[in-house]
Amino acid sequence: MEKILSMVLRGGVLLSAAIIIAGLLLMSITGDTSNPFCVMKPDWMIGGSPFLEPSHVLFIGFAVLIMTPIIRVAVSILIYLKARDLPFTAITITVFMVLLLRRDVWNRINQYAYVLIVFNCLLRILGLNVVNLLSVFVYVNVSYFITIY
Amino acid sequence: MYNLIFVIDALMISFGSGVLGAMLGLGGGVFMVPLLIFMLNVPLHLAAGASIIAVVATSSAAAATYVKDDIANLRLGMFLELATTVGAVTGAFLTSVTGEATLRMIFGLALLYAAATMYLQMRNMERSWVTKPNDSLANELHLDGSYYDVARGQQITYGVSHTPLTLGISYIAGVVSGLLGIGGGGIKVPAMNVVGNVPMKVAIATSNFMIGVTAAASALVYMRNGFCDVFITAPVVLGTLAGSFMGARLTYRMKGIVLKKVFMAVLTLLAVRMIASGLGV
Repeated sequence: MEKILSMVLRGGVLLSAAIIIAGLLLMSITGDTSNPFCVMKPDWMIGGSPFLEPSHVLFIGFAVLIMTPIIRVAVSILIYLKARDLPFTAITITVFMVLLLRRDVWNRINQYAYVLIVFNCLLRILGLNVVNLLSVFVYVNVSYFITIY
Repeated sequence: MYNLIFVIDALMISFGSGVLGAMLGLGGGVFMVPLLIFMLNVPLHLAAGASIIAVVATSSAAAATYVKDDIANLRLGMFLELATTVGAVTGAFLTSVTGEATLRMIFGLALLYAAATMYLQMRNMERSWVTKPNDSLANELHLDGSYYDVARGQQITYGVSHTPLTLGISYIAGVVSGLLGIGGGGIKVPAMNVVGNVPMKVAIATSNFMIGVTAAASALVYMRNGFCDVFITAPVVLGTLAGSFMGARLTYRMKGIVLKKVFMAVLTLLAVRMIASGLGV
């Protein structure tokens, strides 16, 4: 498990470094300093513009860099979910929500979390092995939230 | 203002900072932000924004080393992340409402704290340290762990004590990290080691792993406030990455004591200058 995490982290950093270097080279080659993407805003990470001018390439590099620990936390959520470790699933989901920091998403997840906990207890009482079902359920909901984010 | 010379200067400063940080175990931000402010006239908010993203980079890049050796306690780290991420967001918000002079003074105080910690480290022998079992909260969450200590040649099992207090101090560490744009490991490691009775190597490894997530949380808030300028951040990130790679290799070759004395002096000098400039001298 730890190997996957460390590979994700390392890969993310190397990828972002490569993109940043590419962006800097682009910027120096084209000599284009009128960059609209200079002061970075995190809202560009969703629905970004399609053109690839130098400052935009640089921004993509930084976006990948910032996303790397966040993806690491997301992977941890799935790992603890699969290990059926409810306290740590809740902990990692909370950390993930603090990272994303959207109050409407946070409230939604809280409501779903209560449902999930009740659901989980019910299933344990019934003795069913539904880890896969749960993870699919959570995955569908998280991806739904990401699309509306 | 931002031209090629600036980029090269920033690259060199952050490279040196990365090397020093890796050799001293301090992290790049502590040296880099004052040097950027004094040598390149970068406003503190922008320097802190660049530094916090560089912290994300170095922490993630160092991931393989401390996770592979199975020393870091990932559960404890993730649990303390609850406090540090909330603290990081708080700190990053605070930095947007705090003036530059006040921040410079606070940064100078943090530098003094770092120098004092180095001094205490040099003075203390490896005190005889006893493992203690978990307290109640740590027991419920299974925060205890064990690792194989190569120096002593034995497997050491440990538990975590005073868990709520450790959580609270981690919150403060997060606030400092978000406020100043530094890694914050200087507070997290004593919190885990002294308060939580976690072995030093485990505390250091776990702190390294936690810092990346904390810094990512602050970085998002910094970006939202417009403190991350690509021209400063790009060379700083690349330079710090290259510097820490080089610094990690050099640690095997140099003995640290003289180095530490020199850099304690440098830190104190920078601290005095920061505080003085904050006071308007």
